[in-house]
Amino acid sequence: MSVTTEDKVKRTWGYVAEFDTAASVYEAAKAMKEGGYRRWDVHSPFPIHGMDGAMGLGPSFLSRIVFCGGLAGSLTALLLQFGTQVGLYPTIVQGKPDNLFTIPAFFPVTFELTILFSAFTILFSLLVIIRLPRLHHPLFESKLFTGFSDDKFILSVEARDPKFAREGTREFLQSIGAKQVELVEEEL
Amino acid sequence: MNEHNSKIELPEGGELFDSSKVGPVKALLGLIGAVCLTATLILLFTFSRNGAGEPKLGDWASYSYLFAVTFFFTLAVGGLFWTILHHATNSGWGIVVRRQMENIAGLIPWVFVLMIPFFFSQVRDDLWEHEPLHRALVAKTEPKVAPTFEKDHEHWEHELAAWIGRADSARKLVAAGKASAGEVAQMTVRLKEAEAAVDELKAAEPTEASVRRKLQDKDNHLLTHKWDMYFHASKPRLIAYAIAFILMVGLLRNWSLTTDKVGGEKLFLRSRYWSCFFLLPFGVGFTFLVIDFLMALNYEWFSTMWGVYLFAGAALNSMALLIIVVTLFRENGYLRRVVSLEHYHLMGKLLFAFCVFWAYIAFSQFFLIWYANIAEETRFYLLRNAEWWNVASIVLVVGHFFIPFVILLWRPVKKNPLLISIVGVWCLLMHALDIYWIVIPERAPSLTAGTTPRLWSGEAVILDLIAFLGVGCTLAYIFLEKLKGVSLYPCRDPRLNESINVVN
Repeated sequence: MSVTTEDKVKRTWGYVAEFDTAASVYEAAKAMKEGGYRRWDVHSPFPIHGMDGAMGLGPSFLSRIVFCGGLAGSLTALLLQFGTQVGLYPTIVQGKPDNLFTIPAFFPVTFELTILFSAFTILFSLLVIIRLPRLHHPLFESKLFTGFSDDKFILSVEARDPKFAREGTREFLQSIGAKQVELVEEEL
Repeated sequence: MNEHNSKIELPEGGELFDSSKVGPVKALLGLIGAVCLTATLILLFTFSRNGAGEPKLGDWASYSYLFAVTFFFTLAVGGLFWTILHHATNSGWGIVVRRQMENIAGLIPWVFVLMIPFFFSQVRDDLWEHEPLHRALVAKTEPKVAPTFEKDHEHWEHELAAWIGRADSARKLVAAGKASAGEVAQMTVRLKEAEAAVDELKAAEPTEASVRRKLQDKDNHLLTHKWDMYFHASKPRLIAYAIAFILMVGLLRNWSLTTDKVGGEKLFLRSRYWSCFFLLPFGVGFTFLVIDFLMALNYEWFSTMWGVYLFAGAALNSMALLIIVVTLFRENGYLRRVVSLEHYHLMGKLLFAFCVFWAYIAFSQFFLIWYANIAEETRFYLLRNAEWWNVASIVLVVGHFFIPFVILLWRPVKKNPLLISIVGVWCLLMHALDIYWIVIPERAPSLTAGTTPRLWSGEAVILDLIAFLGVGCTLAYIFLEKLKGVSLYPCRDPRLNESINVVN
């Protein structure tokens, strides 16, 4: 038995709206923010200066996780070096101190490990936060969406947004200057 | 986008500073500066020991004065660095604070005026001991030069005559044609030997200079070898630094002020063009000046990172000073329409970056010396970790790096004018400690070397304070004086609007 497209169960994922210019999508983003939408994004062929401000994006909370990662790196390095070189098996080189003041010798490794742990924390926590890697995304179903990697500016709204309404959101998007609006559905 | 291009109404001719409001402050600064500076100068020149013996007040004050002048020199020269860098990198963000960088840099000519005492031996001899040492060495050598030269030259003439005689007799024997083939071959070899010896001797004719060098070599002192380059050029060098720095500041500031009046892009582009070239004399001049002033405090010690170490401190603390100056203007109602929290954020980021850079350089300098453990290098750090100086060293590590580093990691601090200014004041305090820690530990051991050696002289701290206040208040007074009739930001700079609306 073959399964046709009609047989699949579909769920509304959201809308994508197309804009022609960076200025219009910038204005639209401000209107979205003022309209109270929360789960939406802007896709453009190039970075638009001030877009994060227009969208009302705050500073990333990644920095706090990275701080913890860096701290963990420093502490690991210090613990391993002090633990082995001062605690377990005191190593005296050129009559240099064998206590807290040995610390200059341990700085390069501490420095490197702090950076290494920070970098790993950035990479892996970012992957977790943005839920990558994944094989597919409902937005890829949309014809309109592909324009963002060419010369179009795309604004997408998710159905998960509390303010989302099937008709209301379409009208709202058109009212803020969208040239085309397309409904995106995902297969279950 | 739209916000970025918004134009705000700015007064034509920019904002002018109202000097009448700060009259009492200025008068007080001028008074303290004049009194303390005069006191220091009188001490320097009238209470100097002039040679050996117990150090007097003026000798202690030489170091205080070097500390004070160097501290403010690094701040002023940092202002020049930021101006040059701003032009050379074609930066747009900082146009609104660039005039304050130029104002700070504008103190450079006056700092060089304050360096005039360093031309006199009353001050030089206390600070840079290799100079009196060398003079003593020369004085010891000089009487012996003439008689030694006579003797050496006589001996040389005698030798030369002997070899010429030998060569002649060999030549005659061969020319006579009476000798056998074996004898001719022998004579030819001898002739060659003699001719080579004559050539060698002629090249090595003793001169007064070579005899002097030979005599000084007995003291086996590095200074006697590289002396000509070092000593005879040290004062002209200081004049050369002064000309280079004053020229750079003068041109850049003049172009900037002229743009205020005539507008246009011509001078703006010219500043950018020349700033790229100015980076070189800036780097070379600054490096050699701090070598001449600070590294030479102990002529036996050297560090290849010295210039960049001082530069890191200068750039960092000049930025701290810039932040404080801008905040003071804003608190008094100036610059409010042009300088936003975004500018504070950017300046805070630079403060943070140079805080890390300073630590990186300071640690690299320390680490290599500490690790290699070579006696001629470790002396610098041994002295600075002896007794209570050890506490100062640790305070420097914690206070100059760790505390500002952790505080400046937070974005809210960088965007808060009051908080970032407090961090700036802290950085300046630490920089003062840094320069103090470089200059003052050399003082007591150097001055008391011929008598009862001492590591520290507590009572001289009051002289440091007087010199610091004298130089600092005088320069602050000049800073306020130079604000007259000049806009507080480059009001007709072609990229002013870009700078006002900067977002980062």
